[in-house]
Amino acid sequence: MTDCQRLMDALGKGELPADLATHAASCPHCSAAVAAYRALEPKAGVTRRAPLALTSTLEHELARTAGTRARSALWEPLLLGVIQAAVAMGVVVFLGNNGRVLGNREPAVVLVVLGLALGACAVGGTLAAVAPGFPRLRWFLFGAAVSTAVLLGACGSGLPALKPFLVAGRTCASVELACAALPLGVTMWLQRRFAFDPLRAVLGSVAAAATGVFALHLHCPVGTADHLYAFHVAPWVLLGGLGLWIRSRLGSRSYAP
Amino acid sequence: MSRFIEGDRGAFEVLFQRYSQPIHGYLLRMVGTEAQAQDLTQLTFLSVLRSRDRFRPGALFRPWLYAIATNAARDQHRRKRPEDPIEHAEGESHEPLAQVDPFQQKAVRQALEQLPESQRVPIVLHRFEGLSFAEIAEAVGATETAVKVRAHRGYEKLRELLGHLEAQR
Repeated sequence: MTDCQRLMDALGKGELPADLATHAASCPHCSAAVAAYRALEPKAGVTRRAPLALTSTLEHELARTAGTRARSALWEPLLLGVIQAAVAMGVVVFLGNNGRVLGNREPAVVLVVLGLALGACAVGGTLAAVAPGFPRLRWFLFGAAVSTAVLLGACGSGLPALKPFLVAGRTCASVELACAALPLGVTMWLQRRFAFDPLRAVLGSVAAAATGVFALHLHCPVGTADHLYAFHVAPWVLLGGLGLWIRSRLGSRSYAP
Repeated sequence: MSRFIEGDRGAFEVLFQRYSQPIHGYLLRMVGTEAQAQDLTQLTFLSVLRSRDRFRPGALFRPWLYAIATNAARDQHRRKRPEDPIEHAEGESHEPLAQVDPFQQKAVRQALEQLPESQRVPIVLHRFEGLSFAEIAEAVGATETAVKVRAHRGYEKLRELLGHLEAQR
């Protein structure tokens, strides 16, 4: 720990120890910090008032919750997990009607790696979105989602589409958006129980769409990079942005982290 | 808090009595007007009621509560419309304390408002609310070192700002 950090710890604990006082005298940054700290009168800018009273809203909420034990904080991620699993099963059943659940021609190892990466995005993103905690994991998950998106387009089999570019792509993008609709809606609804956090909103949206992305990727035989980036990856990115936009416009029922 | 999680209404009332004033004071510094601070204090405790399931057993209550209050103030600031009336109307929010120089009060408030939120929050929590840097780190979801660096930079900048305001006096 540097002397500057030790000095910050010592502020507010009485007189500075001799070594830190010497440091403060010689370090222009610390001397400014100490001077500002001393200039801030703790009572400046605010008056202590009479005790606040519970409002009727608080009284009502208190009456509603009194006598009942708090439920587990894990029910939200579990609910989302069940919905995502149901969507994945629904897609498999739907696509299985024409006997082509697995149309992708990429090597099995690539599909397994992509499946694991998308699974991590789905599980990790869901936890980051609607479970308490994980503040420092969020940027890591965001990086993982970006890497997965790049990998998704870069590892295509190269097999061209038999239909025109836009016609083939329109179906893929529509399937992906349709698969994400329910999980995304539920994620946004559940996120109202948290304070707005842009990263949390993006991760929740990315997670909501991840199972659909994987189901589509398994099914779609087209393996050119332009098709994959334009109609598999871009809608996924779009859903991340859409989730952020929707969440920024929704209020919060709670501001707990 | 653990008694409240189990459904004890009285435990919440004790928490409210103990912390509503400090939270109100903190929010007043963060948003500047009495009415907003009152509303946000109620919202903070409403969030405690609605989110008691998210409180980790064994965690400290005070950083969690200040995290909620900070989030509420941040959200209020984010959703504030440009056409909202000018805030910080003189004399609207709070009467000056007899023992505190009113100019100093105003200067401190103005200087704090000019700091970025990442520096203002640690300073207000440290200097005015008496939280340790470990508690502040818990409240803002950052490392203790990061919080100390932000506070240090904030104090430095405050010194400069207060110097300018003093010079204008």
